[in-house]
Amino acid sequence: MSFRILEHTADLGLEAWGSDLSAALDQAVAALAAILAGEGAAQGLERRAIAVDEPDVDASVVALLSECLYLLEVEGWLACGAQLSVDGQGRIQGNLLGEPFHSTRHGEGVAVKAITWHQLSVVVQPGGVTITTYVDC
Amino acid sequence: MKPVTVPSSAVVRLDPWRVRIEPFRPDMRGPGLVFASDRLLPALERDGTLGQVAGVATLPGLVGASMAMPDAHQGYGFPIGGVAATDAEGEGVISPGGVGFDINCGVRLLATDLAADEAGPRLRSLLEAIFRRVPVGVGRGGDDLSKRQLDGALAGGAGWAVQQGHGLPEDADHCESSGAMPQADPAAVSERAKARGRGQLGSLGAGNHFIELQRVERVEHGPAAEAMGLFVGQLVVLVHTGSRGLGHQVCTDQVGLMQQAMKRHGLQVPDRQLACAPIGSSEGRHYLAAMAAAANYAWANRQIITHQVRQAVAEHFGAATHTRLVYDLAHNIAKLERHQVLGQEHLLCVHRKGATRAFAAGHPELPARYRDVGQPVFIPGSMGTASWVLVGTPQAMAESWGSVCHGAGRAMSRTAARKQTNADAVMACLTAQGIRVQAGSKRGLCEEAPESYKDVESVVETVVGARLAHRVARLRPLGVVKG
Repeated sequence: MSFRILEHTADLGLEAWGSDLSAALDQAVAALAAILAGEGAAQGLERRAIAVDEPDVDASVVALLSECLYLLEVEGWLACGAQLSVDGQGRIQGNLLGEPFHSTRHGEGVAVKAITWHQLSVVVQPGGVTITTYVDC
Repeated sequence: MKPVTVPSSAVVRLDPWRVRIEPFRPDMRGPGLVFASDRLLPALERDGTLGQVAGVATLPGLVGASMAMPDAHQGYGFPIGGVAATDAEGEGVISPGGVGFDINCGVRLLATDLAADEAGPRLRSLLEAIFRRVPVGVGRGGDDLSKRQLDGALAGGAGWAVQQGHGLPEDADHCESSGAMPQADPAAVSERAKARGRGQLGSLGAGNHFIELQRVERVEHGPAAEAMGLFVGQLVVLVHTGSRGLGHQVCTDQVGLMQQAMKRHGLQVPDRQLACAPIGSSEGRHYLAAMAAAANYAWANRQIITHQVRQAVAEHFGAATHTRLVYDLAHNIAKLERHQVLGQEHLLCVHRKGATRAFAAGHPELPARYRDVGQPVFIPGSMGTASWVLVGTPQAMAESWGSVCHGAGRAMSRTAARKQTNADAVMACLTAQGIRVQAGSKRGLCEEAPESYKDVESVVETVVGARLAHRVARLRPLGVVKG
């Protein structure tokens, strides 16, 4: 586990890190699942193909996590990880990992309305990449 | 982007109810004005609310001050409890962050003609019936709507719901903006947003949304209470919800689009959640059309829930029981309104993010019933504390663009609430006070514990002390349905 949940007066934040952007995105999806369903409640039993093509990396983070919320609400499918590749233009492709949402096993989370741009950051350092964002609960 | 920090030298107390933030950055286009007593201010200083007030003051075309109401707390970009107006006829911008994700999250008060004490033995059953009738929780909703039905809700709001058989003819008149914003364009709402909204109309959602049975504990403004049909001991129902996933997706879509629009228009803001575009630009007009449609969806949502509550009341107390809509108002919205600026009338875009419109008596937008007393305003406390009914005043028109607070305001983070208490303890505490609870989630119940909120009495004392509102009636909770 390479993420932590951040405090906020009314909402929650997440900080996720990895050796590169793909790994950090995987952990950002895992952190969002921990907020939505409780820590460790979801399993990556199924795959869903995903492609994100946004103007910058910040927008890609918002788009990827927003897609997770959309899948949960519209299709009842809970993403908890990702296997992604990022090309030279910043386009993201790969799979989300997750399973169908089940209220008894995944009921220890909170509802998330949206992914915000508030204090959103993607910091690339020699040791890896750290993503920070806040979610509206 | 780093959070804006307000130097203590810029914070000036004006009177017991007001604090001014002097412009301390070159990009601030006006001051901050925070309605807070000495008791409430320290929390706003600690959690970064004042910095967010200052950040909002950088919006192009700001008119007057960037404001925060006494229930304000840290938000994302805008503070929750923030009010800001921009010049709609000049260089003013519109910002989706100034409305928030839950577009037209709002509250309505229903007044039965029942005495709560007489209804007492059947209140538990009534609460259970409402819980069964109104879907609550994450993603849960009503029947799937056809494209035509969904577009009808997006265009027609509360009035559309009434036409579909979910209410009484007079209901829409007792909603802010008559329950529908005319700028709405269903075509401006993305297919993804429509996919999220198609199956959720008539549902409560989760988080801080609720339906509460309350008793009118006391009346402090006879004429206003009479106009609203409120009397001591009366059973009333407060409904709090918004535009559900449809509104969340509209805001997500539009904040993303505005990130690009900012570059085209050469705009800069200190927090990307404050992304904005000139009101008259194609992006600004598109957002207004989509936001208005989502707002209409929210009015239709609360209207359908109202119908379910009425049905449940009629089942329990007879078909002759009358459950009247007192008023319905929006907490998260941007509206084009005419206000006096330095003695002249101007068209402004008033953003209310966790704030309530509170027009004074005589305003032409008020229904005839309230034109002599002012617009009803409802201030929910928490599950275990009182709520208040207020009315707007001329001072609110002159100083806050006819706006006041929207609730008690959150005081404690969700994590802190879970560390401090648990769902069983919250339930026991409420039960001991005679408050019954139907909740969809134990975690949600814990995070919404009364201790998580500010003291509603201090909040109301501040808006009344500042003469932004008058007290009308105090309500005590009897039962709560939570998502």
